[in-house]
Order: sequence, then C-alpha cells, then structure tokens
Amino acid sequence: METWVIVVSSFAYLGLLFAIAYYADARADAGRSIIASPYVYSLSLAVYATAWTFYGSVGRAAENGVGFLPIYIGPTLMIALWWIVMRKMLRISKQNRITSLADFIASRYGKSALLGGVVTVIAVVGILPYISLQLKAISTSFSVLLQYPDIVMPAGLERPPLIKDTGLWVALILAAFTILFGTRHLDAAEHHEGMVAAIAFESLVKLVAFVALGAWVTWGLYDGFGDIFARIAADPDLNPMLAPFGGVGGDYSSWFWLTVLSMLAILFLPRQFQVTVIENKNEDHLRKAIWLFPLYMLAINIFVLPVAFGGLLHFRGTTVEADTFVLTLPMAREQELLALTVFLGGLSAATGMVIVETIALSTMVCNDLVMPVLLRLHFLRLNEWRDLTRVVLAIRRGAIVLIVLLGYLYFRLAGEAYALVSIGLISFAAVAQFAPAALGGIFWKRGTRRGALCGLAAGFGLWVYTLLLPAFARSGWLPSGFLESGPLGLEWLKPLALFGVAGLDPITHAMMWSMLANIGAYVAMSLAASPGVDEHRQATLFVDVFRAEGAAGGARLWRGTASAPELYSLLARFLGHGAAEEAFRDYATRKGLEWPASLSADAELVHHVERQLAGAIGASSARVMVASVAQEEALTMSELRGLLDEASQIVAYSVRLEQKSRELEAATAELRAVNERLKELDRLKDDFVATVTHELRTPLTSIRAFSQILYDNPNVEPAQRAKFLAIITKETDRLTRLINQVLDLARIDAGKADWRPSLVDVRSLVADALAGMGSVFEERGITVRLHPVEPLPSVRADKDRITQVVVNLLSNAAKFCRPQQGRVDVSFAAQGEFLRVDVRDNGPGVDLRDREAIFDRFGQASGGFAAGQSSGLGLHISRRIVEHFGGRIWVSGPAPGEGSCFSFTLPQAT
Amino acid sequence: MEPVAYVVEDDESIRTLWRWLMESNGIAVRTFASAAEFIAEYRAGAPGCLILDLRLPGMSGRDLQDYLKAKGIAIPIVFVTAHGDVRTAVTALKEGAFDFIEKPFSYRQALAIVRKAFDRDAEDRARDARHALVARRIAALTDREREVLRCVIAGKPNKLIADELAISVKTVEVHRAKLMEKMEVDSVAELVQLTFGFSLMEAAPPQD
Repeated sequence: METWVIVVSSFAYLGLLFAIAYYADARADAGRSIIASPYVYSLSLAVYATAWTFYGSVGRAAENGVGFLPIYIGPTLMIALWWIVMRKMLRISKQNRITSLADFIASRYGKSALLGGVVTVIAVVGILPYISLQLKAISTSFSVLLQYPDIVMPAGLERPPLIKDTGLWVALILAAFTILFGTRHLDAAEHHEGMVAAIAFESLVKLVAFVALGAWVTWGLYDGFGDIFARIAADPDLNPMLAPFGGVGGDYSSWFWLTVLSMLAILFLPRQFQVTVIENKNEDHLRKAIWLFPLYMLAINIFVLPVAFGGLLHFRGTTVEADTFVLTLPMAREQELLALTVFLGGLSAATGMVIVETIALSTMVCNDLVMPVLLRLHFLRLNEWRDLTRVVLAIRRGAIVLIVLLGYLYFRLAGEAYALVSIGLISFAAVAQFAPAALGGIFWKRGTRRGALCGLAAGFGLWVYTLLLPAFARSGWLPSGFLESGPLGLEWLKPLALFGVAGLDPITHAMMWSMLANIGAYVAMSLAASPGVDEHRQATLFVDVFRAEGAAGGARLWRGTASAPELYSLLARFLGHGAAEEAFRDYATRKGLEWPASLSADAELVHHVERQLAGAIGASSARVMVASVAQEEALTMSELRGLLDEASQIVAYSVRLEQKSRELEAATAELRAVNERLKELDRLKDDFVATVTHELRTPLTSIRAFSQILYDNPNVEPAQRAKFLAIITKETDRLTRLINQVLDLARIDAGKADWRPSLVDVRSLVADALAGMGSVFEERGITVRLHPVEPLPSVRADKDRITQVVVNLLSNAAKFCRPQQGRVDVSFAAQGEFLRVDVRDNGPGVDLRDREAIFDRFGQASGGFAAGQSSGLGLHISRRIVEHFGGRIWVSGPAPGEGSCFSFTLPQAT
Repeated sequence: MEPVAYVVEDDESIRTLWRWLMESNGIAVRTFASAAEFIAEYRAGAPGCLILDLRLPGMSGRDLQDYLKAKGIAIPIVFVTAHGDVRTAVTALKEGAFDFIEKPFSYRQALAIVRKAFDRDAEDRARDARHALVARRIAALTDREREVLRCVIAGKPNKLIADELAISVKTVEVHRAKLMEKMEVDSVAELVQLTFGFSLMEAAPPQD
C-alpha cells in the first residue's frame, strides 16, 4: 500500500477529530453544549479501550484464551460500585473544583503540594509504558500495513534510525494534536468539551472498525462462532485455550489480581479520571453510564476470541504476532479497505488514549508539579506578573511534548521486549498505587498526609523494583543477573521473586507486594499521628461531602483578611480579565451584591477565588497564591474543632440560653418574693409604728384630758377627783411599762439585749415572783396555788428575764381570771431534758384561732375578757426570752370559757 | 328625741373620760367597748353622733363605718385616731365621716366637735324631714296638677300653659289654685323655694 494513502487517511482522520472538537468547543462557547448527554458521556468513558484493547486483547486471547477478560470484568464490576464510589468522587471534585487526580489526592490531604507532586511523578512514570504501548501499536500497525499485501513483522525489520522511526513521528504528531485539543485556551474548570466530543466519536469509530472486522472474520472467513470454536476444539494444540481460566499461566490468583487491577485502573487512570470526573457535566449521567459502558465493553470484546482463534488457525506455523492479527487477517485476504479501516480504528483507539492521557498528565504536571515549584521560587516574582495564562499554557504544552517523547523513549528502550498487554498492565499496576490514598481519603477521615505519602512511596518503590526495572533488564539495559540472581547476587531480593515468593506471574507478584506495602504504610502512618488542621478540615469536606452541602462548608473555615481588588487581580492574572470579571460578577449576583462597589473580601469570597483559581492551577497552587494576597490567620486544632462543631455548639448554646432564661425567671420570681417579703416587713413595721403610736397615745389621752379637767374644774367632787387621779396614775404606769417593753423589744431585735445566764431554781423563782405581786391577787380575790413537787433540776438562764416571763404570765392570769372566784394554779414537771412550768387560770380561755396570734407583737385575743388592759407586747417578749434560752412557750386549754393554761419549758442545766 | 353621743372605745379610761365629759355637759352618752356591742344596742334612726376609735379589737372603726353605710344608717361619725393612722383617717373622711380628732385631744376640743356633729345631725334630719314633706305633698297632686306645677315653676303665664297643655285658661286657673292649696303655699315664690332641687318628673308617674 502506498505510504501516502495511509498518511493522508490518517491525517484526514485526525483532521476530522479536530473538526469535531472545534465544533464542540464553538458550541460550548455559545452555551449549547453537545456533550451534555449521558450517551456522549458513556462513549467518552470508552477511552478506556485503547490500542491495547484493539490489538492487544486479541494477542492475549491468542495466548491464553479467555485470559484477556479480567481487564474488562474489572471495570464492569467497579461500575456496579460507581454509585457509591464515583458519585462521591464526582461530588467532591465539583465542590472543590478538582482539576486532576493529583489535585484530588493532594486536596484531600490538606492541599499538600508535596503529595500532589508525588502523585504526578508516579502518574507520569507509571503511564509512560502505557503511552509507549500506543506508540508501539501505531508504528507497528503502520509498518505492517505499509508492507501490504506482504505480511512482515516489524521485529523482523531492522530498527530504523531515529529520524526515520515512524514511532517518533507518530509521537510528535500526536503531541501536536494534543496541544491543539487540550491547550488552545485555559479553562477555569479544566473542561475540554471539544476533546470529549472527539473522544466520543473516536470510541464509535474504533467500535465500528473492530465489530466490522469481527463480523468479517466470524462470518466471512468462517461460518459463525460455532464453526470457529469447533475448529479450535478439534485442534489438539489449540483446545487448551477453551479452558475456563485460560490455558497458559492463567491461574486463579492472576485472574483475581488482574480483575482488581482493572477495577482500580478504571478509577485511577489519569485519563479515566479526566473523562469520568473532570469532564462530567451532570452527576445523573452516571446512571446511564453504569449500564451503557459495560455494554460497550461487551460489544468491543465479543469478537476478540473469534478473531484470535481465526488468526491462530490462519497463521499457524508463521511468525505473525498475535497482537497484529486484527490487521494481518484482512491483509492476508487482501481486504484492502477493511485493513485500512482497522488501521484507522487502531489509530483512533491509540490517539484517543494519548490525547486524553497527556492532557490529564500535563494538567497534573503543570498544576501539581511545576506551578507549585515556580510559585515558591520567589526570585521569579511570579506572583507579580500581570498575566500568567501564557505561562500556564506554555508549561502544559511543554509537558505534553515531554510526556509523549518520554513515552517514545520507553518504547525505544523497553517496548520490544513485551507484548502490548504486558506493557499496559505495568501502567495499571502503577496507577493502582493511588487506590489506598484516594479511596481511603473519601471513606476514612483518619487517613493522613504522612500516611498517603508513605503508602504511595512504598507502593511506587516496589512497583519500580518489581515491574519497571525488570522491564529494563529484559530489554538489556540492566545486567540479566539482576533478574536471575537478584541485585548483588542477593537471591531474596530477586525482583520477580521477592523474599523467595516465586511461581507467580510478574503482575500478581508486584501487585501483592506493592499493595501490601502501600496499604500497610498508609494505615500505619495514618494511625501513628493525628491529622493536622488542614488535613482534618479537608478530610471532613471529602468524607462528609454529601452531608456538608454547598461551598460554604469550606469558606467558613477560613479566617483572615484580604481585599477584593487584590483578589480580583490575582484571579485576572491566571484566568484573564474577562473570566475573572465574570467570576466576580457571578459571585456578586449570587450574593445579591454590587460588583465592584459593595463586595467585601470575606471568607466566602476568598474561598470562591481560591476555587476559581484551583480550576486553573490546582488546589495546592491556588492555596499558595491566595495565601500570598490574603493574610490568613492560622487555625489551631481546637479552633477548627470549634468551627466544625459550630452547629452543635449553637444547639448547646440555645439550650444554655433557655436554661439561663429559666434561671433568670427563677431569680426574678425569687426577687419578687423577696420584694413581697420586704413589702410585708415594711407593712409590718408601719403597723408596728402605728400600733405603738396608738398604744402610747391612748394612755396619754387619758392623762392629758383628766389632768385638764381637774385643772379647769376645781370644784369636781372629791370622789370624782380621786377616781380621775387614780386613772392618771394607772395610765402613767401603763405608759411607762409600754415604753419599757418597746425599748426592751428593740434591744432584743437588735441583738443588744443583756443576757446574764446563771443556774436558776425555777420553783423558788416563781415563789419569789408571787410574793412580790401577792397584793394583785389578794385585791382581786384570786387563789394562787403553787403545786408542791419533789426537788426539781435547775435550769441555766437569766434569772431576771425568767422572772419577767413568770410575772407576765401571772399578771395575765390575774387579769383574765373571773373576779372574786379566780384560781391560778402553777405546777412544774421535768419533761425529758426540759423543765416545764404551767400557769393555769379559770378565765375565759383563749380562742383556738388566737392561740398563736397572742404571742405576736400587739397580738391580742379578739374577744379578750379585759381587752385593752395589756400592751400586747408582754407575751411576745416572753416568747423571745424563752426561745433565747432554748425553750418553748405556748397556750393550751380545755375549751374556750374553761380557762387557759400558759406553759413554757426550759432546758435543764447539765 | 334627744341626741345621744355614742362612744365606741376599747380603752376603759377613755370611756370613763367620755362618759364624764358628756354627762357633765348635759349630753346623753352611751359607751361601748367594741363595735359589736354598739351594733347590738343601737337603734337605727336615733339622733346623735358616733365617736369611734379607729383601732378596735375585732371589728375596726372603719369596718363599722362601712357596715353602717351598707345598712343605710346615716349618723355623723367622729373618728378618734392616733398619729400613725392618717391614711386610714383620710379614707374614712372620703367615705363620709363627719370629722376626726387626734389622740391626745383636749376635752374642750372633743366637746366642741361633738356639738358640731349634733348640729349636723339635726340639719340633716330637718332637711330629710322637709324633703319627705315636699315629696309627700307632690305625690298628692294629680298628674294634670303636676304638669301645671312644672309650668308654673318654669315661670310660664296661664295663657301659655293653657296652649301647651291644650286646655282652657279657666281650667289652668282651677288646677293652679288646687295645687297651691295642696302644696300649702301662698305665693309662687314660696312654691319655687319649696320645690327647689326636686325633680318633679321623678315623682310623676309615666305619661302615656
């Protein structure tokens, strides 16, 4: 076939892809995206199917039958889990404006630039074999097709000089196209709509090409599936291929590991992350993709076995490599057009992979490796540049060229030694190292940056040692002794049989050791030290992404000062003025504010700018840049906890408030009660004053009026005169007594009473008192009886005071006794620790309801027999005295009208 | 009927004082140690005055005042207070007490205030008696006579009264002579003076 035919159709195809991309970009700019469809989204996911699938699967199937299948079973299984895993990654990425896988992991662990860099390096190094695989596939297929109609294997050809090497040219052309697709301009959200549209188209092309070939082989060359399988079964050399787990070297453990590997690859291959997460337009697209993508996988794999078997049957005994069956079968039958179609399908699969992969990697290299370093190199004064978009684009373009060329380098160094699938699996094993850090990061809050770093380093180290170095060794770049007897002859360090674990295929062996080391280091180091403030915050944002809705979750955690114009110019430097202004206006509109008039640089605006910036230069760089204009105050761990627990604190606070208000109410009620009590006391005091005044003025009135009468009327009869003078004398006595009592009470109240305790013999005290007031009883004809008792214990009290009490009780009794027939009985009794004295009279008695009141100040019995004759203070003072010495005083009586009995007790002296 | 000074006072000496003071000045006096005793003894409508101590055991002076008022017993009350009771005394005055004297009072002051209270009682009684008299005479008028009376008091000439009541002047003159006779007055001036302050409508049965 003419070279130009192949070259022109190749370029024509690439041109078509570019046209589609250009159209999609134009539509996107006009606001009418053509990729906002679950079908386009699902097709774009099929970038998973590369030249490996297109050529390699047939190669693998020709080697060990169904052994090619785990690579497709894995994604199908993982897709079933997408609703749990991928939806969460999607939500996290959208909320945090994640730009790449490195950004994702770095963001999770406190926006660590170091971690981002490590992930980027692992991704680039790990993916290089995969890119080389694509280059190898294109250049091989090109070389093979070039020989049409002859079938000559490239291995049989002499390796061309560099300048004539198809691989190099393919690499350079692909790099150029990638630059065109991916870096024409800078998108704040890293969306590449054109690229996605082209990839979706590319997925269709490779599917159609492969299905066309498969159909032709199955029904054109042979007589359907049954015919091919029957022929294989009939062939004793080939029928082991039909064994359930493949023939050669395919055992259960490698099936398991290949399935796991591909499950992780569909999540963590940079290009898969790019199309699934970064380019996702709508979370709901996942729903359709969950069944559409496996369907695509089924469609593109259904003819793998027929083509492989067909090739085996057709090329038996020749040197034709199984990896080329797809192309060589139509060539052998001189199906020129079909061969060209197949070539274009393979080209399509390979270019799709290279374009998306390098764009994803270049974003990572730029955002997570180069920019963080440049921004930290202060002598570059990068943060003073007015427009950094060109710098960013230049870095990305450089990265694309570099990655593709490195892929080519790997292809030149190690590409020849392995089949396509084996090369691809090396890359799968590399990206699988991201799994512990990434999956742990979204489900396990306790995972720390240190854990992630150690896990990645350990896993990647073992990957290099057990997969990459052996690949170089096989290609002759390392001494063969390295593989056969271990480095420096140390057998237990043999890269393919570490610690003596032999008999596994290299991928299973590498995966087992690297995952063991990776997960072990990640978990152990995470648990060894608690996460820092930033890590804790990000962990919460990631793990609890469905709980903390909205971007405010991140903004609240920021404290510091910034100015809106500074933030604007920062954003403008990276995004250009148009995009920056749009971002600010969007923000202002959402907040209902005016831009630039009334926008203040609060935590939310800073967060908004950081997110916008993260879309262009990655989270860790954005953080550095924002920090350069915003003076952030460091959050301590306890402050962060405080902020995170704000909600619960508010709840607690309101509970406390309620409690406080209840306490206040209680205090108010208490105060009110105290106030009432004070008012009551005040009223009592007023009453007391009024009563005292009344009690003083009443005798004064008699004294005044009678003395006036006697003075004005000298001729009052002598009898009258004597009577009046007697009244005056009596009232004067009363007045004196009253004044004394009031003063006495005032002293007792004020605690200034003069108490003089001594041992008192109560019986003789009563006898003395009676003797002193004997005339009172005689005058009224009252009989007083002092009941004799056996010797009494004495009490300890003030003798004068107790005499006062006794006299008061006796004179009361005398006052209230029935005149002429009065009887007063005084008796004593020892009662427990007390001595009791009873003074009984035969007067009218005290009404039941007055029995307490008469001991109050001025408390007189309402229906007193001789009301007005007592001051109303005597009993009160008596009670105060008795109680002062620890006794009690009360009145009892059989019934009103039958006399009363006043009793008091005093504690016996010990 | 001779007016009596009723004294309610719990202090025996003060009661003695009142008794002597009244009797030596020819005034009838009755003393009581409590409000209850007074209520038991007092016959409603008896002329005189009540000398009432504010502070009494059991029913207080104020309580008794309210009790009498509720019973419709109008007797001038002179309260006896001590200095601390000013507020209560003011309330008592508002409630219609005649006056109060403060302890310690001079006996002349006490005597004077009792005499004034007696005068007031007499005036009240005379006024009440005249009211009762006029009311009785008005009640004795016929409806027509009462209408004519109203017009005469308003100073309307007979002609106008005749027009207003749609009767002849002659008939007006007859009614007029009759009502002057029934009201026991000789001139219109006397009639006006007698009926001053009376609402004739009150006494009149409703017209149809």
